[in-house]
Amino acid sequence: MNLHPIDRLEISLSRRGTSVGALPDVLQIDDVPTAAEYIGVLWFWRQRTNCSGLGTTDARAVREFLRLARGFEMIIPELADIQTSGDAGKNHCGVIQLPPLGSNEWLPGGSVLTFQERFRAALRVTSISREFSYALTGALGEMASNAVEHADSPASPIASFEVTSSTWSFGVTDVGRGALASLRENPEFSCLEGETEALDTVLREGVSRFAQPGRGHGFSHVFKSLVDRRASLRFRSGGASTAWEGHSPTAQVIHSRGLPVSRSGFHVRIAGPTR
Amino acid sequence: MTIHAIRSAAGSSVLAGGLGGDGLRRLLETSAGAEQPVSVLDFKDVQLVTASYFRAAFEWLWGRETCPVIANSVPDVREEIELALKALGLRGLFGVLRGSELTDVQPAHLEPAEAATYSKVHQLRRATAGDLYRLDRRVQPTAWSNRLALLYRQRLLQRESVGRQVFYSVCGG
Repeated sequence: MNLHPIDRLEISLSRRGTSVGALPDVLQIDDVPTAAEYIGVLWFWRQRTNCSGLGTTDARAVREFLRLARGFEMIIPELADIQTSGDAGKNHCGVIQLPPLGSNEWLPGGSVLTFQERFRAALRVTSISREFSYALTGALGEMASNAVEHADSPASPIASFEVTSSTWSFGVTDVGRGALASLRENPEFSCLEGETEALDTVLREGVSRFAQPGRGHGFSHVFKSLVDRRASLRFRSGGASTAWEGHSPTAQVIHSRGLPVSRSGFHVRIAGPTR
Repeated sequence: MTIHAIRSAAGSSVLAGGLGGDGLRRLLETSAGAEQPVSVLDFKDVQLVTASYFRAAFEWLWGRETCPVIANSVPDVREEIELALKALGLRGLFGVLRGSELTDVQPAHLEPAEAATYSKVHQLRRATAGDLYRLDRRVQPTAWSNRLALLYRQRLLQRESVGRQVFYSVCGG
């Protein structure tokens, strides 16, 4: 089976008996494929963040993270690459532990909006058009809101972004119930049988755990923002995963498959070139 | 007329995510004063709004005794708002706000009968079902009355009772 590298890592860790639960938090460290997301884990884990200079200024923090993350050697090279890429000073990245439903941090001027504005500001430093920066910022906002609204996660979801001179990416990870349990709350989808079917379904326009009209447009906004754009997408929910790369992604071209292991939570990661 | 400057109230030109919209709704509801016949949502300088945000932030206005009018929306924003309204089964008025002057208020995507009724009220500025019957006798007064009441429930017309007569007028503009 041709698996995404992150899925391979996940399976490898499971087979070696490395328990994510053994870590001092519940975030799934092996399921966060970008540098920004590793930094997000670091921040969540150590209750600190300093993304602005993942080069020399953060070297001690990174070393500490790697020491704590012993057993996760497969991700170290990628992190090391970033440290030595020489691009560290130009990287713009951010992570946020998303506040819960009803928090004042979701109000205008709160931390979530500030985080989104930081992403947009980082995009504007690149050659990305103003319009595309609006669309991507909106897509991040949709995914962040979705995670908090629907995950029913025992730990706050993490959102992150990273923008370099040549690439942009953002991700949102939660350790909640996943698409299957969420969608089954809606009588229309109570008959969904498996995680693979649930992941394919949840990406479609108008699909939501809420039966009321006007729901289920978050993923559609993501796809709409990437029309005529090159991008790579990865979604994982429970034991289902999908990775897709190309132009103009749609829910119809994305088909998930089952993984040998099923773990809690939903993960989305979207990336693309700045040119 | 109440004017909500959305860009300023929301603190961003990119409005996305249901929880962000819910945050704005909480602010707007807290600051809402006495109900005015028209509530203008001024989208000047807003570059993007998603359907989820719009639903969470503004759907409640359609349940109040006011006509929500979406003003100064750029084409992409208007398109997304129209999609959101359609998904919610709501109708919307779009217009232009300059200073405190609201002009060019027009509804979007009305059924032919709704559009014909709205157009006649627009022409008369203020009308009863009887007035519309005198304009077009192919439709009975009761049917005109029902059509007017529907446009009122959709928050496309204002309504005022004077004695036994019910007058309808366009919202703003």
